Amino acid sequence: MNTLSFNHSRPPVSQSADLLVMMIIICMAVIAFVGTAIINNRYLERIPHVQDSVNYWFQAQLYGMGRTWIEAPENVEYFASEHIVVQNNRWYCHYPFLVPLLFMIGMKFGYIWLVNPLIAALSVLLIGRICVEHFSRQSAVWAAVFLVSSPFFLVMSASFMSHPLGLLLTAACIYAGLRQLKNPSTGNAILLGAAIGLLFNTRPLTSFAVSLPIISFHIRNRDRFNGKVLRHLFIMGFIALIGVGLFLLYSSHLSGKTLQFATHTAVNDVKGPTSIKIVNRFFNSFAAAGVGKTGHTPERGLGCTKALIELLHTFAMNWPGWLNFSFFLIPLIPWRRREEDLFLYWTFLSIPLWYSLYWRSAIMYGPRYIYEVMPMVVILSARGMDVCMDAAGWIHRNSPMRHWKTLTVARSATAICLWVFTGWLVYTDVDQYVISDYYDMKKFPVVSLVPMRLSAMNGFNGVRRSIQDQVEKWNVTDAVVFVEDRRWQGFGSVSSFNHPRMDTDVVYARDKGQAGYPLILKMFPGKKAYWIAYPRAQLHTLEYNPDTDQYVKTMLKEQ
Amino acid sequence: MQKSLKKTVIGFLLWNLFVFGLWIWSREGSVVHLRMIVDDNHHSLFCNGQLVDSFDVVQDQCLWSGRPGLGLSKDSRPPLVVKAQELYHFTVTDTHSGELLWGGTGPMSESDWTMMKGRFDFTGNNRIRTSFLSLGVVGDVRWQNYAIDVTCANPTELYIIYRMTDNDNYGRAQLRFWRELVVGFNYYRNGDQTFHRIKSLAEPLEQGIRSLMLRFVKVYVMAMLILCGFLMVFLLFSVLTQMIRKFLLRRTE
Repeated sequence: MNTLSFNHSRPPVSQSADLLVMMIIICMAVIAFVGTAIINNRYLERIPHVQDSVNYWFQAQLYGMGRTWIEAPENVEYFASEHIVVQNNRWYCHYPFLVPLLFMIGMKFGYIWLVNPLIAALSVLLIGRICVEHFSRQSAVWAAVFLVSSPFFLVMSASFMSHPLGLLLTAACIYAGLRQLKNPSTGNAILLGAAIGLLFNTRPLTSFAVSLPIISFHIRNRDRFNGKVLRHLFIMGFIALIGVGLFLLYSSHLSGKTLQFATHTAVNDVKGPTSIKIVNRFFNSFAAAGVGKTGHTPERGLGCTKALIELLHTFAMNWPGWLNFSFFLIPLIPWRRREEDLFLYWTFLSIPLWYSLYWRSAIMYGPRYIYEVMPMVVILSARGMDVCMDAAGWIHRNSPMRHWKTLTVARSATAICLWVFTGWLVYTDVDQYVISDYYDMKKFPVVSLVPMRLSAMNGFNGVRRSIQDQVEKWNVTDAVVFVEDRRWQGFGSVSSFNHPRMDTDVVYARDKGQAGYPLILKMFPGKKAYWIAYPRAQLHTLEYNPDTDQYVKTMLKEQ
Repeated sequence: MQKSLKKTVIGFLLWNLFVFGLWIWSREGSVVHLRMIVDDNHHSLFCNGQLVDSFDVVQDQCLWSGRPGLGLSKDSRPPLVVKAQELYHFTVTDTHSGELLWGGTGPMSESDWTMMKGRFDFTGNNRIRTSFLSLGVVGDVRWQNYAIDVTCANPTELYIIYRMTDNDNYGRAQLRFWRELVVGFNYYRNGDQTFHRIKSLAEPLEQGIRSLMLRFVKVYVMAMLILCGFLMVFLLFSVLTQMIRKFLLRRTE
C-alpha cells in the first residue's frame, strides 16, 4: 500500500489564518489551565488523593529542605504513607525525581496545585504546534479542542500525579521525532534524546514504549538520513542515556547502594505496607509477580491491557456511543496513508503493548497507565477530519467534476457541516461531564476509580479535606491528632499537612490503638492530643485516665 | 498514473477485506469454557482446557454435598462493551459414574432454577443474562461429586456454585475476568467463611484478542460511515451548487 513520505507539504495559508489558529490554540491552553485549576481547587481541594501523589508531595517537601532523604523519625510507621520507603533508616519516596522537583518549585511559590494545570496548558500548546508544523491548521485547532474537552485529560491534569508531565514529554518526543524524521539534523537528534531522557525520569516504562517506534521509524526511513542513520540514533541514544544515568545515580543515591534501583533494594528492608513489596517484585522477578503467586503471564498482561483500552475508549472522548474514537481511525482507511499517521499509530499501540508487561491495570482517574497515548488520540482524531477534506479534494481532482467552478463553495459547505457535527460531539461530551453534571449510571455502572462525572472528583478515592477542615474549625494548635486508621485514605487525607521534619504545629499520626498514644505523645512533649474519626471527620479530645490506664476519647460538640 | 491508481485501489480493497476477515473471526467476542470439578475434598478449575487451580480442602472447612449452580454479576465494564456477558451450555456430570446429572443442549427455562438471589434473563438462544447480581442453583442437595461445565461469552464476573444446601452453606468460585483477574474459592458453613483461596485468572490470549479486534472493527465501521457520509454530503453539495450556478447563469443570459 502506498504511503506518503514525511516531505508531504502543507497547503499554503494566509498569515491572518495562521494568527487566528494561534489565538484559538492559546485560548484552548488558557481554558485547560483555568479549567484544571478550578477542578483541583474545587473538587480535589488542593490535596493529593492517591498514594503516588502523596509520595510526590512528600519528596517535594524533602527537596524544599535541600534533602533527598531524611532520617526516619522514631515510630515512623505512625507517620508513614503507602509507598514511602524507610530503608536503612532513610525516609524517602523512591519514584523518579522530575515530578517532585517541579512540585518543589510550585511549593516554593505556594502554588503546588497549579503545577499540573500549567503542564496541561503547555501540552495543549505543544500538540497544537505539532499539528501546525506537520499536518494542518484545522487539525491543530481540533486537536486542541479534543484534548481540552477530554474528561480523562481534565481530571488527570487537575491531579498531583506524574502522568500530566508524562503526556507533555510524550508530546515532546512526538514533536522532536517527527521533526527528526522529516529533517534529520544533529539538533533534532539531541532534542529527541533529551525528551526521551526526561520522560525516563518521569514514566520510565513509557519512555521505552515511545522510543521503540522512534527507532523503528529511523530504520524504516533510513534513506532520508543520507547513510547517517546510525550516527543520529547514536546521538539520540547517548543523550537519552544521560537521562537514564541520572535516574540510576539518583536511585543509587537514595538506596545508598551503587547502581541499584531504590525500589529494588527497598524490598528487603521496608517498614510499612506490603504494596511496596509487590511493586518491587516487578523489578526483582517478573515471574514472581502476580496475585496468587502464579506469576505474570501474557494472558494476564492482555487482560490488563484490555481493561485499560476499554476504559480509554469510553473515557478519553466521552462521545455518544460508538462514535467514540471513530475519527481516530479515519486516517487508517484511505488508500494512501501518511508516514506521520503510521508513526503516531505505532506510538499509540506501543504504549499499551509495553504496559501489558505489567501485571495489573492500576486504574486510577481512568486508565492512567496509558494516559500518555492522549497526544496520539487527539492528533489522529483531528487528522481524521483532514482526511475527510483530503478525500473530497481527491474526488474533486480526479472526476469529471474538476471543471465545475462551484466546488470550492461545496467543499467549504461540507467542511462547515463536518465542523458542526464535530462541535456537537464535543458539546455532548462537555455537557455530560461538566455542564449538566450528569452521567447515565446505567451506561457507566460501577467502574470505581474512574470519576464518572466531574462531581465524582469530590472526595475522590475516599480522600477528603474534611479532617483538616475540622482541625481548623476547632482552632486546634500545638497538638498531635491521631487519625482513625481503617484504610490508608484516613491518614492519606492529611499526610500532606505533615512535614518530613515533623515540626508542624499540628502533627497527624495514624491511630494504632492505645499502645501507640503514649509512644507518639512522648515524641512531642507539651502537645495536646486529639483523635479524629475517618471518614466522618468528628474531632475528639484524647485524655489519659490513670484509673483505667487508658486514653479516653471525648467528642467535641458545638455549644 | 493509471498503474499507481490501480495499486492504490487494490491496496484499499485488500485492507478492507482484511478488516472484514477480522470481523468474521472476532464477531462472537470472547468465549471461555469453564469446568469446575468437586470430587470429595479435591477441587479443580479449568479454563478452555487449561488447569487454573487444583487444591484440597481440609475436612472441617469443606461441605460434602449440595446443589450446583451459577451466578452472574452486574457488568462493571464501561458502556461500550462489545457484547453482554452470557452463560450457556451448562451441564453437571457425576465424576464417578460419568452420568449426566443435569443440562445438555435442551432449552433452559426459569422453572429449572431455584434462585438464591436476583433473577436470570433467558435469551432466545438459550443463554442466561442478568443486569444485577443473580445466583441460581439446580439439581439435588444429595449430589456429592460432580463436574460443572459452562460456557461464558464475554466474561467479566461470574460465579460457579457447588454443594449448596442453603443460603448459609455453600461453596463457590468467583471468577473475575475484568480488571482484577483473579478467581476466589470459598466455602461458607452456617454463614461463616471456612475456606478462602485466591488465584490469578485471565482469559486465554486468543479470546482477549478477539474481543479487542471486535471493538476495533466496530469503531472502524463507524469511521468508514463518517468518511462516506462526508463524501456523500460533499457530492450532494457539489451537484446542488452546480445546478444553482447553471440556473443563475441561464437567468442572467
